[in-house]
Amino acid sequence: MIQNKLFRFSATAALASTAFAFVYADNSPSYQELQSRLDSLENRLDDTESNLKINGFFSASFATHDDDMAVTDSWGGLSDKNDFRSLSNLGIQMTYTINDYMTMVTQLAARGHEDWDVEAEWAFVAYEVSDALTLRFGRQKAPLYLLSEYIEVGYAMPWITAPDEVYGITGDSTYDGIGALYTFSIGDWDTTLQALLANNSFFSANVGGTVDLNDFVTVSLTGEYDSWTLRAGYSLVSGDIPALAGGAVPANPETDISYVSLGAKYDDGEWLVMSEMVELSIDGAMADVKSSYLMVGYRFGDLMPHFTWSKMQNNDAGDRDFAGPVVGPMLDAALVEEQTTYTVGVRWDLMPGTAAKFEVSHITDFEGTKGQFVATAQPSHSSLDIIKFSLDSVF
Amino acid sequence: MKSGLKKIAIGALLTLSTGVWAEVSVIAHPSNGASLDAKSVSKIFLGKSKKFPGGGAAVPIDQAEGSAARDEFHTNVTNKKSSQLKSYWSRIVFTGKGQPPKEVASDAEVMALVAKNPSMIGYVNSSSVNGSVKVILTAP
Repeated sequence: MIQNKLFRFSATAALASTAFAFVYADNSPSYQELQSRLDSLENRLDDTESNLKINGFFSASFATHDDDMAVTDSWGGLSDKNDFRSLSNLGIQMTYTINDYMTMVTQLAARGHEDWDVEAEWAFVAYEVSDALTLRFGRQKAPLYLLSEYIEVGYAMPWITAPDEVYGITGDSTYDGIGALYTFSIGDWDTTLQALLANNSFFSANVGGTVDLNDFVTVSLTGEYDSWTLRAGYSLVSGDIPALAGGAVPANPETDISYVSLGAKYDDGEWLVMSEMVELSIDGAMADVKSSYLMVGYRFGDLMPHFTWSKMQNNDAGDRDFAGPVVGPMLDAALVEEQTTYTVGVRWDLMPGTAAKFEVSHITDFEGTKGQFVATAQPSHSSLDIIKFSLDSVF
Repeated sequence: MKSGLKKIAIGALLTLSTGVWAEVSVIAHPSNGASLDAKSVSKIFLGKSKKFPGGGAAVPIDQAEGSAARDEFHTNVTNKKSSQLKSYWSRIVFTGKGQPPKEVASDAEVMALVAKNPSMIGYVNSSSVNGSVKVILTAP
């Protein structure tokens, strides 16, 4: 925006000085003629300005915890060190309106825990088939859960980090494929049906290798009415999962993975209540997971204190299909993750577009598993506390 | 005498409060025949509908952040406070689903745009309204 204005200013200045030079030359165009040229140039700049929109976001964060043995699996590997990097990120988005039907969206994001390497999170062309139906071709985020599509944008969420028990189990959520958005009304409900057919491959610290996700299909239905948002989602994918636990479980090139999710949100401007339930089913040796959270917040003007309970459990204990030799409890310890988190936090809206946040999380009930921590660096105590601060902004 | 002073004080207070919470009028081009309630106006300003109920394209014009007319309009019509509205649009923008309405700086600019464009819809302080536009509804 600022650059655009600067560009406009310098272009105007350049034209004005040209005009000035012309005034002193013979056969120079009249003042009116120059004025109209200036007007038309400014109009053209106005058109460019309205075709291209630039938006951005950033989160400057700090986090640490109190267990010198533990390193988190998600969130960039938080340890007991003072960490200014892992939860910090920024992004810039360019939205270009090609014509009445087509829009191009490119969102570049850089995360602290990936050494600020810039990645295209979104890169697609949208084609508006009708007012109700839009097709998207290219890179896009899967609408797995309520917040999955904007999980990077701290300002758009009440927390610094969304509950790890639900949002930490899915890994990367950016896919390359074809998406469709269909909006319609059911009575007073504004409803959106969203679908995505795509592929992805990403490195998972959890399985210690690259996971290829093929023929990923996800469908979600979201309804909004008054203060309410209700959502249901289903995803099915064939995963190419490398060998696990040092080869104890052989690689499985066609592992069926499915996610079923239900979510609800109530926001009347004062109360904010959110809840989601997720069931992740994986064929073979890896554990099925059942996760849920409940968040309640209340806004006192610009301050919103909130409380969140979130839990993940193994859903198929003793009922998992081991392709290789059964190795018992050790393998379980590596593949099963259970934990419960209690988070108390406050969000302070400093001004529209900027919020400061503070959160304390108490993580416990590991039930003998490593929880959402790295298998080789799991908590040495039965519970652990994480403290987080962040400053989130959108512009 | 005493009660007279009291009346003046109450009168002054009322004037002050109406000054701060001035009524806003939602306005459209005089040729716009669509009948709109607060709900359909809200849908247009939140990007949920792109057309007037009659079928013509609808282009909303918002006022700048922090202006009294904007706060009054959104409190009463879209039921969103400024930070809620910002969160709402950040969820739409950063998922590539849309862009917030164009913003202009004053009632006069809204009036000028709406008076010229049959597809536009805006809102101004009711005292700024003149015959060049049509009032669709008033809030509160």
